[in-house]
Amino acid sequence: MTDQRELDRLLGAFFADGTDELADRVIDAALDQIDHTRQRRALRMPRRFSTMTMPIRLAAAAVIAALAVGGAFFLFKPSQPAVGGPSPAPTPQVPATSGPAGGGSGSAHYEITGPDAASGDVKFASSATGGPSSDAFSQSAIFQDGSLVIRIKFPNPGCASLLADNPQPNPNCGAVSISTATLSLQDSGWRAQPLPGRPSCTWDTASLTANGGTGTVECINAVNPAHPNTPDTITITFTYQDPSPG
Amino acid sequence: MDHDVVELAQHGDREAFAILARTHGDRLMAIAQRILRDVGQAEDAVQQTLVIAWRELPNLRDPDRFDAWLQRLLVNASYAEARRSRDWNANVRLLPVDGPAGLDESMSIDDRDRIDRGFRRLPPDQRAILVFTHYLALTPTEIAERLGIPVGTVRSRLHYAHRAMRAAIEADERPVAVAGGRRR
Repeated sequence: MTDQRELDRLLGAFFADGTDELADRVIDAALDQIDHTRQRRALRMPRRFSTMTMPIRLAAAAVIAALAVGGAFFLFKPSQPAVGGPSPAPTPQVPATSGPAGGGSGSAHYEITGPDAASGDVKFASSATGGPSSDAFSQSAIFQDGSLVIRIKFPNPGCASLLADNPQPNPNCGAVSISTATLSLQDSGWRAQPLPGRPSCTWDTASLTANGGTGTVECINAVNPAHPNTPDTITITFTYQDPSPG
Repeated sequence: MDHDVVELAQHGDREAFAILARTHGDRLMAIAQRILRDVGQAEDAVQQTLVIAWRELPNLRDPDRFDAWLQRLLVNASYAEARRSRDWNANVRLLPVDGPAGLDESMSIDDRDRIDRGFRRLPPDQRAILVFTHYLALTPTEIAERLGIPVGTVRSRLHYAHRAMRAAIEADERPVAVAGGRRR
């Protein structure tokens, strides 16, 4: 039996041998690549936030989320007459036509690809031939500490967003389903990771076909344990199906 | 010195980043080559690390922790490189491809071959822990902090890695088939 001391000695000798110099061409190649790579903007939480205890942090996050949702609702709610007294209580808005901005019936495909290995950009592409135009949707992604967060905003009148875990589907909103490409995504090592406050957000296709709701911004958080900080390319295809006319 | 240079690079100074790359490049290469056991793969991992470091540098909160942060990026880049090569298990070689400049007298060629074979069979995360422990001489707590993983995970990986290496060393010497590992 090899004792620990002997093992330590052998491993020490084993690791003592090896390359200790980086060729200049590698640094030159990296610097060349850097010339075409933009730095990310600093995304830092205030120090005070990082020193908060977890319950306070969660409470602060909840307040921020509530403000964001409220702000989004305010931004996306249909315009009200500018005159008159206090606004009446909000009533659910049903779109006059079937489609959201740039609407029309039919389905459309939206692809989110990224982050790009060189630039870190996440691309949003559309192959839509019907339904809303691609710029009717927006997305953002943050690749940070192993997490790729993709937020998708659906400015659909009457249902400003799709909430993947919304328990009450709204028939007036378009349905968004995630394609089978997600399955290969899972196979390649990506896993869904619940977002704070959204524990049921998963890759599960069924939950992603849920419709409607108010608010904004949900809800895929993918993490690949094998690539915690390394850019990898993922492609997610969403299919948007407009609600049936009438 | 690093602190000021890191701050300059954080604000987009490419010359400052070039200084950092040249200062830390050899160390990164030494670690990557020991984890990956392949100079070509190690160079790719280091290059990728430098590009990511440049991109993510504005998000580094404490410039004094640049070295540790860089090593964490390197380990992750090495994992990715290992995953890309997909030859962790098949790539069994009798002789180290990127062999040592001179054999250490404290270990026999047989020992070395056995350790090399055993090490190549380890998953990348266990390799990294062994390199950080036996090459960089870091404690599990220091490794945990550097790699951003729980110290229990470090200890567990170290335990399994040591067990595997012990088994490799104690294995009976027998002819080993040389699989056609990918070679860049």
